[in-house]
Amino acid sequence: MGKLTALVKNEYIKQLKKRSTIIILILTAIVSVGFTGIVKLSTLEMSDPELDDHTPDTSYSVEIEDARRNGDDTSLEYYTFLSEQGISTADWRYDPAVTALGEGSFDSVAGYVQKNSSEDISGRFRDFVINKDWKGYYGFIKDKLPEEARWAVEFRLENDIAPDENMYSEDADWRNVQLDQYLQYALKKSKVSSEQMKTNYDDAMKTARYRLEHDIAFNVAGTSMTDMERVMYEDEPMPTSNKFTMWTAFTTSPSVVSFVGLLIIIIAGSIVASEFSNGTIKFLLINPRSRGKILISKYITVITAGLVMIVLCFIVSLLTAGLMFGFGEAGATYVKTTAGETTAVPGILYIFGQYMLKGVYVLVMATFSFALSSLVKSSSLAIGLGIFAMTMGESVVMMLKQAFGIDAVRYTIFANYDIQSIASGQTIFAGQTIGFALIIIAIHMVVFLLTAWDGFTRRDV
Amino acid sequence: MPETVLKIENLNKTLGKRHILHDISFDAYAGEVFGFLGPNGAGKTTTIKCAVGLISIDSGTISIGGREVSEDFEGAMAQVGGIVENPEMYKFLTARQNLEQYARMRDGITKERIDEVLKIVGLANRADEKISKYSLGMRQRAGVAQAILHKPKVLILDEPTNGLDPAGIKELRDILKHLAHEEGVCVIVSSHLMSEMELMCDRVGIIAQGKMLGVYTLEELMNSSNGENERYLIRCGDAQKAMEAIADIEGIESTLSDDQLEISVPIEGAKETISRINRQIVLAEIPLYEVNLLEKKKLEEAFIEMTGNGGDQIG
Ligand SMILES: Nc1ncnc2c1ncn2[C@@H]1O[C@H](COP(=O)(O)OP(=O)(O)OP(=O)(O)O)[C@@H](O)[C@H]1O
Ligand SMILES: [Mg+2]
Repeated sequence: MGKLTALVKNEYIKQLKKRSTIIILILTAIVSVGFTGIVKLSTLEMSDPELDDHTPDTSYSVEIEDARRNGDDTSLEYYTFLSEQGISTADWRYDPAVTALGEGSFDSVAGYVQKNSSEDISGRFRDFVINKDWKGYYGFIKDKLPEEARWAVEFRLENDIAPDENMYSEDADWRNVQLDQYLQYALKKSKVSSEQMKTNYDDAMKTARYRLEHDIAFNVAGTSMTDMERVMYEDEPMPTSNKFTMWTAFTTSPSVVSFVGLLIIIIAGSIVASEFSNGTIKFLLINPRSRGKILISKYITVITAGLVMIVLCFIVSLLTAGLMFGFGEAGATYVKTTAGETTAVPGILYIFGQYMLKGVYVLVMATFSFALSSLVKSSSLAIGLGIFAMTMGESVVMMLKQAFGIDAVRYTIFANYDIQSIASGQTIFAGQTIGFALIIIAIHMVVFLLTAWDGFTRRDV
Repeated sequence: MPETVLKIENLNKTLGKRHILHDISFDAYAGEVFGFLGPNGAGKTTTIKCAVGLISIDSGTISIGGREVSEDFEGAMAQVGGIVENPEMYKFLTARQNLEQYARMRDGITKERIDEVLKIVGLANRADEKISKYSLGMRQRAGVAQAILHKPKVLILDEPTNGLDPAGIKELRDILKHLAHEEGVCVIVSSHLMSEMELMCDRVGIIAQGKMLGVYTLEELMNSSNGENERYLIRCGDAQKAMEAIADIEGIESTLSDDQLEISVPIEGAKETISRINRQIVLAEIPLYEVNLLEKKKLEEAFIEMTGNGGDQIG
């Protein structure tokens, strides 16, 4: 064991004395900073949703003027009521008010209640609105909602959570958004027929419920750039925060690890081959250390160096994201429900997990190049082949699958090594599971390592 | 009887399709400098590579300090130090850092030992310069430092004088002789130069075209090359007269070549004969400039003859 440690120490000294290694480490850090910087720039391009409608209109002067000029009495009465009561579209009373005025939408909570009750409840709604009696309103609608939706109303009443009169205001209660969404999802769920959509809404409800019960004001899930865009442009249930935070960049940052994969090829591809091309192999092997031990020490060096680079990426991304967006939400939790199972972990830990999942890809690339390095005597050949495989492999597999419909390529390493993407369902192969991917990866790793072992321990120097 | 520390028996090796080594066998003892002599392409480097486990062997056994290389590699390697072909070290490290690398791969080497070997090979003042800034001779010295670092029982050096200046060659010779004769190390030096072997080796093993031609002590080698006679070259004022002046000495044979006199003297009592020749030339009042033993040239010739390679094609 001590012998192996000394060998690994030797490898590290050699690596750190090479200028290329230092450049690689600096590049890793620069790419992490650059990535976060690009996210920051694109958030500047996208308008911050929070800034819209900060002080919503309650005068309805334009609408009232229009109605007067057109002699539209219904509209006039409608807008005058909203104006007198000072109800903006961001007010909880807007929904019962417009419903009472006969303009309720079937998709809204009040509209649903009205359309599903036999009696005319406009008068009750109007009273609740005029008296700002939210307790009365929620108490009244509770039993009229679908079974599943009731929990949100009960929770509101039990915890005395007053709905917002302006949900865009600074001191709006985050719980209102979650409670409203819970109701919305429950109503939508009762209406859709697709099982998939039902599960999606159910998962979103569970997440909202978990956050409310555990008082989690900020959810890291759904904060990435792609998630935010999805929420903005598509009607999909996705619990999200509507402001840009450090998480906007940080949750997207694990993709930087792909770059580490590229750089590790340089280290792994040269760690054995360079001993041959520099002629130092003879002095390395003339020591009382078996070739096996020397090879293992080199592999340990490659793997730990990859790990160090990933951790470096993680730390640099975390710090840059914090510095660019503020560290305010650094302690936030990641809550997500998939297929009914809710998981909650500290956001930082969750992202670290994502880095490690991406790290599997780095591990595979490193092992592949390491095997090449043990087979050829030129480091540039090993590095070149490694980078070629990395950049072309995935594209070729994609092309074979998508353009030629060859499904068998799902057994190749390129279809499986990005288990972070597979875990989040981003794969072109139907039914590709993590378990399947791990088996394919394990088989390839064993083949790579045996090849390296055989090539290195038996070869004539 | 000195201890046998390197034992090679019936070593065979094929590289590609060529059978390079044929039944190589020899022993080397503690406390001697063993010369491994052979022309280019004879198989010296190949044999050495087999001995230090850099290449596998087809058949035969190699044991170092009683441990077989193919069975107990680590045990065998702990007792051997060497340079195979060119001394290539990590160029981006200094000589000292290089030695620290090797120190970590061997057992029980202290900082002081590193300083000591740097001093032995004369690099103490330049030890903290990168190898990339070293001259070929300095690299060779660093290679020797690497080889002797762990005080191995067997030291194998493949053409170690390559690139060394005359002073460096002499220093290295002295170092190797000291290690062998004072510290009991078995030093094995390969070379294709007979003259080099003469100056430091106690025994010489000769290899040609992958076959061992024999192992000889230095005296045996000289005797065999001269047969019964030693040959001298005499330069004097008048070779013709000198020849007449020594005509009465029995057993010698003299021939005239150019202005010089070449004499063959029986090995028995050669010293007395030569002093008599000297005296008689001087008494005949012929100016005597020099008397040279021709064995050196003859030894080289004998080697070429034995290895069957007179500047011909590499076998
Ligand atoms: N890798 C190889 N593949 C095939 N043949 C080889 C290989 N290496 C060496 N040889 C051959 O083996 C023979 C012995 O080579 P070796 O290097 O042992 O000679 P040497 O005695 O060290 O010569 P020199 O004095 O030139 O260093 C040569 O004929 C050479 O061509
Ligand atoms: Mg050689």
